[in-house]
Amino acid sequence: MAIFIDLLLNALVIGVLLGGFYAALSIGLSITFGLLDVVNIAHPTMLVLGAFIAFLLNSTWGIDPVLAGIISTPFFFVLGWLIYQVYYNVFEKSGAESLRGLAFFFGLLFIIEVGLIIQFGVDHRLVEAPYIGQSWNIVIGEEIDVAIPFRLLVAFVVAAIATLAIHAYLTKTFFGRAVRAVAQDMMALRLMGVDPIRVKRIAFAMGVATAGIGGALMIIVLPIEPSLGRLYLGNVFAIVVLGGLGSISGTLLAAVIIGIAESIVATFFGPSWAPAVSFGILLAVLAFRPEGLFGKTAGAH
Amino acid sequence: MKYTFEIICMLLIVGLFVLTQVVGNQFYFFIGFVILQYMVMATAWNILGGYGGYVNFGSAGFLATGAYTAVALINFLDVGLVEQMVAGGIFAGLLGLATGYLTLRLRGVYFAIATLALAIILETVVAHWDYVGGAAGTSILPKRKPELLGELIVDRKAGIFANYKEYLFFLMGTVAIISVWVARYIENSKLGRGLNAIKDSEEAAECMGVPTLRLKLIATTISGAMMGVAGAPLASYLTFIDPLSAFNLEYAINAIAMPMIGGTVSWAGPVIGALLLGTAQQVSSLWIQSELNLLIVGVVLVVFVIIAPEGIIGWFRKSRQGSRR
Amino acid sequence: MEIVYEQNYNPKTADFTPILRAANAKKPDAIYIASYPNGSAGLVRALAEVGTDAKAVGGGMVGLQFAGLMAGLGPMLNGIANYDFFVPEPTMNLYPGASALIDRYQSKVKAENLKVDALGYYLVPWAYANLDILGQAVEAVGSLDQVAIGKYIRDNEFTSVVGKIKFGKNGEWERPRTLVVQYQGITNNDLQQFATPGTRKILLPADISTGDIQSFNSLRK
Repeated sequence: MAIFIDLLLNALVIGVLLGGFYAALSIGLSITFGLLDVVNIAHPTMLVLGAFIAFLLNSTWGIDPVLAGIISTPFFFVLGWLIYQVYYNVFEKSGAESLRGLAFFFGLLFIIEVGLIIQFGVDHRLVEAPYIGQSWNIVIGEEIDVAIPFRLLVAFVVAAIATLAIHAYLTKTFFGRAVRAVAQDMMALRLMGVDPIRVKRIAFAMGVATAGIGGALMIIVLPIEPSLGRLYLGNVFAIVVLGGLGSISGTLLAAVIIGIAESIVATFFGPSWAPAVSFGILLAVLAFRPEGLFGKTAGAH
Repeated sequence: MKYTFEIICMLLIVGLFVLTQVVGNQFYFFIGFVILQYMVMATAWNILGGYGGYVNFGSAGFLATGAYTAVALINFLDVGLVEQMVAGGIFAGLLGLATGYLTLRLRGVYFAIATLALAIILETVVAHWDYVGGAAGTSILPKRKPELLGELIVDRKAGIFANYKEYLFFLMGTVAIISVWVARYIENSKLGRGLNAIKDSEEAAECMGVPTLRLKLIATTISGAMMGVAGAPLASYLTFIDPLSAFNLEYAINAIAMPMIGGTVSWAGPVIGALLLGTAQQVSSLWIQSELNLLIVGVVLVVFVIIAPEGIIGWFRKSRQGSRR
Repeated sequence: MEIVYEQNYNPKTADFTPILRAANAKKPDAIYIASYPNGSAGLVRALAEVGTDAKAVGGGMVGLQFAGLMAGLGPMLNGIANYDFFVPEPTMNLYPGASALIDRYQSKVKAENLKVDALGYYLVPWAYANLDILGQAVEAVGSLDQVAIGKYIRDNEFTSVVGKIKFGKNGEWERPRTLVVQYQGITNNDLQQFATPGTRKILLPADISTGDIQSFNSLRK
């Protein structure tokens, strides 16, 4: 029994931490896709780009990966700004079907991926930081102790701060409310004298900017290689849809749910079933409640 | 003439056969197979995606269903390639039907994500199915002297084909031509027009009495079945198969990119896209650098969606109209 | 031997501590891991974070032989016993031409700034031997007749940079030359320490071994 409680406690703790990490990967997509309706399928690959930048800064100058992520965030903001500029002029302005926008980001995904391969090769990369490989052991009782790996804890704390900050920004500030309004009623914004395109551009750039810090967390948690983004493609979209489009707090909750589901399944049923469980949840939600677990607007539009 | 297209198709099949008898270098069949397989995938994707506007991200899941049906059949009954392809088509078609039912309420991006999720779940299940090799994969040695209807098919001296690559190439070429014929038939039929109406506006189509539900189910089934047929010979072609290669995202991406580049409105789009992109990828990965084929997909896709939104076909149509004026 | 825990993992597993905990709960004497690079690195980190009482850990972990991962994981590798193909231990010099090949490879990678494995021990000698044998067979046969080349390769013994090679009935080497090495004495994340003898002691095959197996925890601080 003690062993069972020990495993369960650890699975829950790891699940919550993992959820925070997943939230950091998904939050940018929650903005670009959830709020702005731009299907940025290249987002996970942008995260990998962020991870490689953190690797570069870490291996060349020994900069802490979290700091490296903060340093690269403005770069991603500019990148997002430019991408939206192209996206708007070519697709959105002409009201082009979403399929073409999707294909555009698909192409972008591969361009970034191959660019990384050409620059860094296909080897797996890691970063060095004093907290990686260390853990914090909390003894709770006889045969029950919880081990918290620092790399997950760092990822969780940074992710939580970033997510809450974005959530606060979008709900409390005028600009944030404008972003949320853009998703619902562009016309009303125009009447209020706000340029909706400018709002969308900045919001999209913000979403992409999260790839800087998110990518840094990625390489702290696991080894990276250029095509890693593809593996996480399903995960991040699952989380955003599960949380309900447009809901930042929903994304955080959904990420924690997926994290806990994965670590419980990995502990008690076998790790290889974990993706089937999380995507099973997604598929069930899509089939029976397309608006997501926490969404308010109907998903089938 | 009424049957011009059919006659051309027959001639092409004969032409493929002649090629296998005349060309000695197996290497061409080796890469030709891949391009033809992509042609089937692109054509199949386009029936649902191009005509109906439903973007399937999980094409690799249907292809892998065909491939693994074949593996299971080889292990279970040791049947020949043609039977494998028929069975692969049936199972992937059923999967398509199930997908259709499961995703009835989903539109746009939601449908795309649901198909992706389906492929990932399937991959996990296959990775646990030890009978077909599980996560580690399994080696498939094609039959030594396969026979079909009493004829010896592959044998260095007495067979119709001197080796397996020629046989696989011919089979895949035939499937590709039949797929294109089916796609063209659908395009000009009530089904195609109905799907087009759904693409424009599902509500409007429903109001006008188009049986949207039934048409969608037919389209997901046909599209899935074609992908399954294309996937069935994969195990024999690679002589080894594991979940990572069968469920590779590259299949899904090419199945989308090729019709987009060629043009999604007509059957010729996926064909042109597969020929161009498929050839470019094979050439670049064999003679230049293997990563480059992905870069080519990426750049070509981005450039095309920006400058030629209707694909190559749309581009030609536009320039022809322009010169007429 | 009794198997107390056996599970597969998925390639996108982000954290391996739950897996190691579940395995530890069964109190295994040895943990055999068959993993690809992502999993190898993840499990090595989990071993550092959660620890284990198993006496032997490792087996078929792909990726730990790569220069990037070795340097990145550094001291966390200590104690793991794993397969390898070629390591810079003195007994490997028995194979003619191997060290010259490695030197040439490493200086070419450095000079041309190639984006490939910086050390090249793992696959370079075997890949070289692979083509070397084919080349020797083609020259001996004197034509490109596949059947004749195949027969020659099956019937003869070859000498290349990985030693003497003779193929057995099942197509594998008649005498297996895959190494089992144990990581030890790794103090930091410097890549160059892996280019010198001592960080990966050869346990098997016995005729070229340079060390004896030690328990997992005795090699970790």
